[in-house]
Amino acid sequence: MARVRILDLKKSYGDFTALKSISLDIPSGAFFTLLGPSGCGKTTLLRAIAGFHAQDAGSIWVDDVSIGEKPAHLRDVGMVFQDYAVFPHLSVFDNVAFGLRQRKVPTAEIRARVGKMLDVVQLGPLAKRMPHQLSGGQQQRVGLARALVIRPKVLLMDEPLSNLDAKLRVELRRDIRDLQREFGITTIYVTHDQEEALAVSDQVCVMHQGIAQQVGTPWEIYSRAANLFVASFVGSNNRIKAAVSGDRLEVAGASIPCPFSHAAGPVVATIRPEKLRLGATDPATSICVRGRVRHAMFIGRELEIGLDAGDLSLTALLAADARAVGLGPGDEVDVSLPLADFAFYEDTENGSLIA
Amino acid sequence: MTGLSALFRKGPGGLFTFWNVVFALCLAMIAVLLLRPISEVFVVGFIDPDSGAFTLTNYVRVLTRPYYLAALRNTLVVGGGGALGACIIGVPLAYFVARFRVKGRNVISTVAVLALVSPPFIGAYSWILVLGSNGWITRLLRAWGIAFPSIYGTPGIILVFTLKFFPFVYLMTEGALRSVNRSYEEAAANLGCAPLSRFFRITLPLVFPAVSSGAILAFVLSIADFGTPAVIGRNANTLSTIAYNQYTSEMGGTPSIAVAISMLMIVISMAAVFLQRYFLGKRRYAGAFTNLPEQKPLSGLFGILVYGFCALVVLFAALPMIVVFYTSLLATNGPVFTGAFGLSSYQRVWRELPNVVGNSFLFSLAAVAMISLTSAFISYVVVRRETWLAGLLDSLLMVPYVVPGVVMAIGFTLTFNKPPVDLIGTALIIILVVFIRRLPYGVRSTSSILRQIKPSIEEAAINLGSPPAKAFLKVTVPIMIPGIIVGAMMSFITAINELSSTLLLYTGATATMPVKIYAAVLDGEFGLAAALSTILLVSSGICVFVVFRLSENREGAFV
Repeated sequence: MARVRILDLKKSYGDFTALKSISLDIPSGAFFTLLGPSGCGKTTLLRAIAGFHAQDAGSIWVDDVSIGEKPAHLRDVGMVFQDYAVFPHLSVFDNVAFGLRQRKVPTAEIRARVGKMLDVVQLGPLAKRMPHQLSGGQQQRVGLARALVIRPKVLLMDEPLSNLDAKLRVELRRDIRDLQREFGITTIYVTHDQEEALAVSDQVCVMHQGIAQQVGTPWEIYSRAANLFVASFVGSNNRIKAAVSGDRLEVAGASIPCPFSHAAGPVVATIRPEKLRLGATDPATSICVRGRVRHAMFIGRELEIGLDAGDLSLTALLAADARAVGLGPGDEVDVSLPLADFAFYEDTENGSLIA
Repeated sequence: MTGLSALFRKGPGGLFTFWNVVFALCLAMIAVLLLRPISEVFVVGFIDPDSGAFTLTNYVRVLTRPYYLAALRNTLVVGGGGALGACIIGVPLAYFVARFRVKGRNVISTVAVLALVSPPFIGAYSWILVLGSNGWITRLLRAWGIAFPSIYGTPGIILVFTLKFFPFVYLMTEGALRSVNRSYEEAAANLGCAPLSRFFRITLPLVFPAVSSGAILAFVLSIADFGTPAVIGRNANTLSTIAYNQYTSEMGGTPSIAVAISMLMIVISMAAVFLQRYFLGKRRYAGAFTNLPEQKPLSGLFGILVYGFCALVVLFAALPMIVVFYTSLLATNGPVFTGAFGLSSYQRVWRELPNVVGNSFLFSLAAVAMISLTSAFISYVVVRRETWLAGLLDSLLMVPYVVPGVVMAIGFTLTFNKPPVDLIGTALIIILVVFIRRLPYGVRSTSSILRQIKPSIEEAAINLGSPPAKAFLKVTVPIMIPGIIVGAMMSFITAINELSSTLLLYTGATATMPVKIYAAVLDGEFGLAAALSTILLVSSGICVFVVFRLSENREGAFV
């Protein structure tokens, strides 16, 4: 258990700025996820914490110890790698024992701790196997056991599930979360998969262009995205041009009382596809839009409808009831957009939340 | 007929299709030029030279008499020493060049490749000129009152082999080090492993397949080498030199003892190769294509040490070439150096030995032409067919790697010594030996490029109405041209430097440059030897340049 603080961390590669002054305070025992598209700086940040490359400026603290200047092999932070990095010339047992041997732990204790850890990750019977005899999921369990057995203060995970198939990914991420709770270990987890991030984390930090865009619980990130980047990267969103004039707001062909105070001019409204409803409802609480169905796809649990209404293009996720399933391209249909489900942003490149 | 069509491939065109005929011809050629001579050697080893009866005495004698056992021990010592020395130089050099931003990387690689392609006995005699009993450095040290230990015997042989064969280990290991997934070393660091321990516990085991392949090559070539122990060995005989001596003293009779020694050499080489394969079978790690290791900058004391090491290796590896070139420019009067510079050595070559130079080029070019033609066809059969017979052909092509030149030459003299095919003393026998010995180099080069050409390209040509032979020649061969040229250059380099087999087969009229260099060194005609060696080096160097220009993986083409 340890609190991790990142203070004003900067890193650039030549002209490219990978990290623009990142500061984070990660509470002890938290499952903290760095989420962002590739090139956003999340892996650079993780590797700086592990000590694989030096930051240009800033410091990294684990509890009250600054580790930012220590060589990687003295940092005592466990790491799980995207490509597993299970040593191919060592057996499962020897892989897990590797870190303990570096720490000169007595042989008997190594045997006991490795055995116990292998049981925890359900690889007990495979201790003598070589890595090439394991599946990808099993290899990543070895990677996890190897990182946990040294009882590090912090566990770093660099997209540990991205090389696995979808079903295994869901299964293993649940196991990772359970283990993390059981060990109570502060975990920093990197992923580009927003569903994964929302599912496992206590806190998510959305990163973009080397900047921490928003830090919050998964629900906060999803329901109150701090800016347009977060709003569009986490989950899908309909983005609608809107304009403030006086105390009125023009949005989606309707004029409603402006729910926030803002100087006259353009703003951006967003609404999640799953908030759209089929059919017209009370105009006091919703905006009704009539449009033509562009496409209708049944995607398993729900029906995804693409809709054109003038220059407005909307996506709706609808419960797959008889009426919705009957829709086809070209059909005219009414949808309603509940006012309470809108979020409004400044109309700039990465406009921040107004209300 | 069913058996035949199972072996070959009875397609819609019947059994006598173009490729089936080519396949049969390839097999026949391998049988006559490779299997027949080797089996002759094998059989003669069991024949009593006097009575002609079956006997085990030859082998018993070779395996019990101190003279032969000493040679066996020397062979293993110089082979093992050469391989070990090659690793001691090659592995650190590879690590420095692969993992740090070492300036002058091209110089290192070029010198390594040149050292590899220069004839080994040039190294031997250059080191004699430098460290021999009358060498520059020996005299210099003696003037200061320091006695330098003798370079002759096994230490000298090991020194020469180390400097000659380290490029195999270096080039192979460097390639492997560049493709080790970075995560392994990072994971080890993350688990608390310090840099040096990381190298020995993670990095080295991961590149072990490459290191061992290089070491085995160094070992096999070391024990097969004839020129080096002959020149610098003095009283330290190896199996290679006693096989030659025995053969020349048994000349006219049945060379039973020479053959028994030869079989012993083959067995050692094969054992080494199989042993390495056995260990490699357990450890095969795929290299990474992404997530490759970074090259770190060099600084401080460590940087100085690294550059010092690299510079020393380059200097030592290049020294024989420098010495040879320098010596060739010294004016001579007969075998005596006058102390001035001059081109008299080259004038002597021009005046006295034009036919020797001509022979070398003629034989090599003839062999290379045959190799280029044959290897295009053989590699097609080996790469495109998946029958066990094609697999066998592929394996048979490994044989020339492990059969020393002396052995192959003895096999040829035993096979082609009576009518209707009496080739003794002809140029053809030299060309054929060189051809079969160097064919695998050509095949390997053409095979590797053919593996990158999709069969669909040829199928498209056939589908558009071209017969198989024409489709191959008009579509596939043109795409293979770079590979064929690289293969030809590689074969040419090895062909023109060939000594161990030609020494047993040449006559006055068919002497080649390496043979004359060897004779000149023994006669103390160092100027003449140096001039001939320089001509060899320059010819090899030109080929290396062509390979560098044509090959994507420049240095990789040489290992």
